[in-house]
Amino acid sequence: MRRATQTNGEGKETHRRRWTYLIAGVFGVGVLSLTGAGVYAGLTATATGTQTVTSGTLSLTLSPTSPSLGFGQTISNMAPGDQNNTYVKLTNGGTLAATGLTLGVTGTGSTLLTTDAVKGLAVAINGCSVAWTVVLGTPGSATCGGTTTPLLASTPVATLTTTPGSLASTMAVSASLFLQVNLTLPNQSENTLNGVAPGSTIQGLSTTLTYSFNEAQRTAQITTS
Amino acid sequence: MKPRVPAIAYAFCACFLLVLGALAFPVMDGFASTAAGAAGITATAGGAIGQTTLAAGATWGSIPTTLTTGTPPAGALVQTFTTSLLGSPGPQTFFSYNSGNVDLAATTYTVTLAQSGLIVGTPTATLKTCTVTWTATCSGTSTTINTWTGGAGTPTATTVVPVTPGSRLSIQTSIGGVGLSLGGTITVTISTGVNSLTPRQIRAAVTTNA
Repeated sequence: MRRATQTNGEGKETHRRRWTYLIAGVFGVGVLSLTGAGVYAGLTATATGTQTVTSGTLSLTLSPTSPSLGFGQTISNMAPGDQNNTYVKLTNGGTLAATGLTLGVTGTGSTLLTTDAVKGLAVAINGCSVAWTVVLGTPGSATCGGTTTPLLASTPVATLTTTPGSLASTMAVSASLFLQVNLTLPNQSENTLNGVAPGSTIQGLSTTLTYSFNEAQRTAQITTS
Repeated sequence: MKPRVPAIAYAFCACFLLVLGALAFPVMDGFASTAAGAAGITATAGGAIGQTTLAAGATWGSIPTTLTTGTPPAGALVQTFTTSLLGSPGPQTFFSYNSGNVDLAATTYTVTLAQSGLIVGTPTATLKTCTVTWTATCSGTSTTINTWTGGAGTPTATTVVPVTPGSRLSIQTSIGGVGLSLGGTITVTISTGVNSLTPRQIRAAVTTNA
């Protein structure tokens, strides 16, 4: 009987401890709630100003100068000394002035046309301050009613493939360049004997050239307003 | 008995506050790093379809051949003449074929002679063009290219050529200089060369606006 009473007393003690932990837990949650509420319930003061910011755009577009059909044409049977002129308009159509206008040219395949800096194709660029007046055909002619500016001396495609040529240091917003793109197969001596071309011949090769004009944004500015 | 708050409750509260603080401060750092990392802008025109150009190189050449149609195989032409007892053999003809895809302005011919058997005299070979196909005679206009003697042929250029790609020019080879002969044979080897620069034997260079 005494033992039963003792056992009953130990049970009450255990029950009391559980209540103690429960109360402690509830107290902890309460403290956290009060802490959080304290953080957000502090006094605040706000001053608001608005500022509209837009980022600039840089856009370079390319179009043919009529009646020239521009790029995308096929130039067949170029013999040494032959030249082909294409006329295009290059426009800086974004809202940012540009710097470092360059031209890179790459060709498909790996033929002497694009890999040989002496025998292969070469590109030269002339600019005109107004649109070129073009007479198509062979022989063709073109006149510049404004000022003609050599922008790129004759440069092998083999060079332009790895090192783009510089055309202009700056290009203003909305500025356009009227370009004469001159493609030349340089004069060279090659003898065909009894219908057999020599080794490393320039004859009968073909490539598709891709002209890539590239510009960069003007120098970053720090303005005060 | 007065309930006590266990130490674990305090520790839990402290951790919760630390987590709150750690979440708040990195947001402010993020704004700063974004502004500092602004990149430059570049624009490119070209490289897309419609901004490419297909460029192809020409071919040029001439092939001496006896074939009257089709594209002859490349190579020199060998003509064999059998001499008669009392003199030179009769002429033979061949064609110079424009095997390239550009017009020709000139062609260089090189002829070498070799002989066997008994031949009295010094054989020569003469090439003559004709504006129409040779028969026994030239019913059109004939032009002599050159006369060669011996084995070391001197290259000789002529502007009478098959101008357009795929065309043929009729040429006669005649043998001279043979006096008496017994079982003699003269072998004539005809070679043609077309150069692009020195001398320029293809059409003149052109400038095209397109």
